[in-house]
Amino acid sequence: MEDNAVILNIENLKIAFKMRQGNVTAVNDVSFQLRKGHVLGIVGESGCGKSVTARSLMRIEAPGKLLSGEINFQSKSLGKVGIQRLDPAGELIRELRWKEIAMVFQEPMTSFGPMHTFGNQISEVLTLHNKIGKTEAIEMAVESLRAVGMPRPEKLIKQYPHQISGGMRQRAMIAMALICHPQVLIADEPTTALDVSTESQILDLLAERQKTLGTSILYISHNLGVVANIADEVMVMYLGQIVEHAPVSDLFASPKHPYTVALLNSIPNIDKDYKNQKLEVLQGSIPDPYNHPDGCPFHPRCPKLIHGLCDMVQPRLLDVSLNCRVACHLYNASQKTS
Amino acid sequence: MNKAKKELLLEVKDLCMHFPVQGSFFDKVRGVVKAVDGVTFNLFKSSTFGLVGESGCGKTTTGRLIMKVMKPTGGTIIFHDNETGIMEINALSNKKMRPLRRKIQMIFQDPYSSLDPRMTIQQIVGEPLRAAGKEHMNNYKNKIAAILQKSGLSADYMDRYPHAFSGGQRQRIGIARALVTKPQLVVADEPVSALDVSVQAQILNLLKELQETLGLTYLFIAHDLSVIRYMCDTLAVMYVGKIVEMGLSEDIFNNPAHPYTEGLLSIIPRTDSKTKRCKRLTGGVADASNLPSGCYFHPRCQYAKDICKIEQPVLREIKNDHQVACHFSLKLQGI
Amino acid sequence: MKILQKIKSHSKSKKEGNKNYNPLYSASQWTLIWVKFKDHKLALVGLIILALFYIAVLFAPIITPYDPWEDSRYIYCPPTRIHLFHAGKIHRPFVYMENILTDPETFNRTFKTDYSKPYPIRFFVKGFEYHWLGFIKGNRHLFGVVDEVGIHLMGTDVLGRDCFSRNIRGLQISLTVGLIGVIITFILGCIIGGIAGYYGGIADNIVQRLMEFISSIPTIPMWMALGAIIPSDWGNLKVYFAITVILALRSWTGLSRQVRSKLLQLREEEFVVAAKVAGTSDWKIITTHLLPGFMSYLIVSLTLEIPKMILGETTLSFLGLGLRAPTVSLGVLLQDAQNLAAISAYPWLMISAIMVILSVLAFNFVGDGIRDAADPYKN
Repeated sequence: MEDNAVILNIENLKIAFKMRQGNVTAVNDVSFQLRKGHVLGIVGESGCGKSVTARSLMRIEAPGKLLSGEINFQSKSLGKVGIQRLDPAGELIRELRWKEIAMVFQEPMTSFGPMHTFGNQISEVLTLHNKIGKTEAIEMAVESLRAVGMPRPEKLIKQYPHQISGGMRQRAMIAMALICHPQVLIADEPTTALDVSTESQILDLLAERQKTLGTSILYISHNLGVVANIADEVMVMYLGQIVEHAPVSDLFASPKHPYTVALLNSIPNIDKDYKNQKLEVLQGSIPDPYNHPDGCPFHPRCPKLIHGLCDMVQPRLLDVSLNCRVACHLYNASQKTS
Repeated sequence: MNKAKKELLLEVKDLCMHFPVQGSFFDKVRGVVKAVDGVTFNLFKSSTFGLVGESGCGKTTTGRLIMKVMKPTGGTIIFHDNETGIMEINALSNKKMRPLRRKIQMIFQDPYSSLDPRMTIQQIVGEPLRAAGKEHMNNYKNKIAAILQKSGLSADYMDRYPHAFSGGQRQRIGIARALVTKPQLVVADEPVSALDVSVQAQILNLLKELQETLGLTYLFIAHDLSVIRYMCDTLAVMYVGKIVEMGLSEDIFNNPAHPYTEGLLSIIPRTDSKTKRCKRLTGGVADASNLPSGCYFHPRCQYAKDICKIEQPVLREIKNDHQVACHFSLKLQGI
Repeated sequence: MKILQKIKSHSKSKKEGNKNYNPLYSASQWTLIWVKFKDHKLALVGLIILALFYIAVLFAPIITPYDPWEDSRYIYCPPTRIHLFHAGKIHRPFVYMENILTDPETFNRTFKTDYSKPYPIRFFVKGFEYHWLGFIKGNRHLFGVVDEVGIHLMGTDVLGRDCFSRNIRGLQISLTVGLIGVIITFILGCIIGGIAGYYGGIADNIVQRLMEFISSIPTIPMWMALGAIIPSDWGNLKVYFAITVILALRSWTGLSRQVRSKLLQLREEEFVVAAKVAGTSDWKIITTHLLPGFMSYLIVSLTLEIPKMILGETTLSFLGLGLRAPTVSLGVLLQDAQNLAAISAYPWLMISAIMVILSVLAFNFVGDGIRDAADPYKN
């Protein structure tokens, strides 16, 4: 497959949760594409739906329910497959999981089973998906650990998760995720629980592996700095919808959506001396998930609110310039419908 | 900042917290983990002092020692009370410490576990008042309503339970609880680490406003350097139980003197990816149960020489109000 | 209850678009537990069964038509059938006379129904005298028939005593033994577990070893041994309380362990540290923060202990080592059902077993329901 080909095409995805007090639409009409060899960063705060979106790609969105939409994946073994049609407990999705779409989770302690050695767990991935023997699988596991920069991987194979540090566990997690050379790697806040020192190392590792293996990465984080350094494109989500989607340099240099602007202003700049200045704060809080606002979900907090328009009509995600999409009425005039 | 009018509020001298490491059932105590090892600093009234570092550096433990949640294994903590004068609080018994509690308060990191889920907001915020004694109970409800409003919450919320509130609102409740007795010193232990970015900014601004209106002094503990820079006038960088650099916020961020500080600043990802930074820090935080000899930082330090492996550097002043624990700090600064 | 009404009106107003105030915000922990409990269908069923049983037990002498200790000639009479149609026409509920016929050779007794005359069931009839709750004298019963006929809803036993009345009385003993035993368990468990959990150290060590020792003694042999040493000349009431104490001696260990572990966990919670930092005294922390913290867990434990007590008492009495005749408990009643004749010829004697099973199941369902509803951190 040539570079830049689209391997994952999500269209109008809608996922909801049934709760005691009502239905919560966690992902509301989300559409985007992931290209081969690209890193797509998804940022947003609590309740924006970024994690649920990512999980639906492997059909682990439960207890949420995928209501509508398409997840079209260009699989190596199954050809073009609509993941939304696959049974979450069925054989086909299991064929894809880990072999073609893998995931790295936030908390490495809970992603590894405490009762099995690393050797067991990593080689299990191999023996499940490929017809190779245990010995060969262990050898490949050792190599994969070496590739992620672990010292003495032969010793690590025999150790248990609680015996090593959090940063090293995360490296092992990445080794395990990439061992079958998947096309897509979903990284759900992989460095949030780590120190800055370790975070830096893990980010370097991910970037290096991505270049070597050509894996496409879907990187989810609430840390804008991290995303700015690893992603090629960035998608900003708010209350289940995409509000802005642009190449990384464009998004951070000239953010368009008022929410993106507010988010970037909310982060204290480490290189700036604030003296007596204060941060520009985004007023209000994330709305009640059971009661999404009418019209644009961001309008109650938007400093550029247009009465009569923003509170009644939902803005569509439309192209504003090359590869930049924004869902905001302010940009309607200059939008070209795609 | 007007340096002439600085009034001491808290003095911490050589504070130590050593935890014994148990061997197996038949082994005696195998060694110690020096969570906090000889920490010395001063807090001045109406200022914000930051304690920053990565995991295992001892900043949270230092905060808890000052709050007398644990008893230090060494060192002294001296509190300058505006009523009772200078008091050495590290040796005080629980009973004697109680009247001082209303003057030194704490804001916790996790807004979900730091509020008792079975109490109403009124009960939670009023607890320090009740504990302070009958003299402080007059106008009980009004005091609670007033501090809730100052923290950005409506007084109508007093009858509700914590489960009705979001993380940011809960943190505001925690702040209200810490401030209801009008304390002199507030220890903020990672108060925004568990919050969303936009909520973080709101809480940080709230803390700044409250400091101005109520004349508070903060000991601000965090791992996020950008938050520390925004909030603090002075700060101390900690590494595995020791302070490695301490001074004015401006000085440290513009001219870091310790290789660790310099390294941290270089690896923190920025949103303007245009300026390429050279990453000057490798490896992970040292293991507290297996510390390197000499300077704890030397295995990761690009300037390390032989002396760094043998002798532990002492914290000393290289410029006005700027202290560093490094053998080569003067040379590196070009002084 | 006001909160519940508010919640009901809230779900109505939600449809009308009133989005602002969710009354669950002011709901205390108990209200929330009740709301979640209602979702658990089995638990609700269990609660209804228990409510019915306890009401029956409270009004026992009134709802039972016969004196549980009164013999009659209607030996081993099967449950009386209630008819609604007589001679093809609808009639108020009534019974027929059962005539006893004894075969002169085999001494087999059979019952022949006399379909000629219907004897209507009356309500609030006069019957045997009783002292309700110990001091209210009365002789009215919920239902009954005239003296010549019998209405035995659950048949009669070897001495012609009405099984329905005996079962209700048995239920009375079994259900209350459980409650009293559980109160003793609660007190013992809280104090001992509390000491171990809060102070730790040597106290904790001693208590834990003691708990382990008692738990390791096999239950039924221990009960049997203790039951056997109850002097045979003790009055019924004394024996009754002795049994409850014996049962509690075993179950306090389980509760104690729960209390201890909950205390150990809660001690480390941030809000306890926050209370210490606020200046609250140790005693106040225990009573206002820790105790309410595990009250719901305790209630779950206790609710699940009661069926064990019921089964324990039933077992002891069944084995002849607990309550004895003439005291009526479900276990004593089951003694009569120990033989082949009972299963084949007089199966209604085993209804007592069904009562035991129903009560045990009901308590278990309710306990499960409370446990599922009680976590305050779940939304």
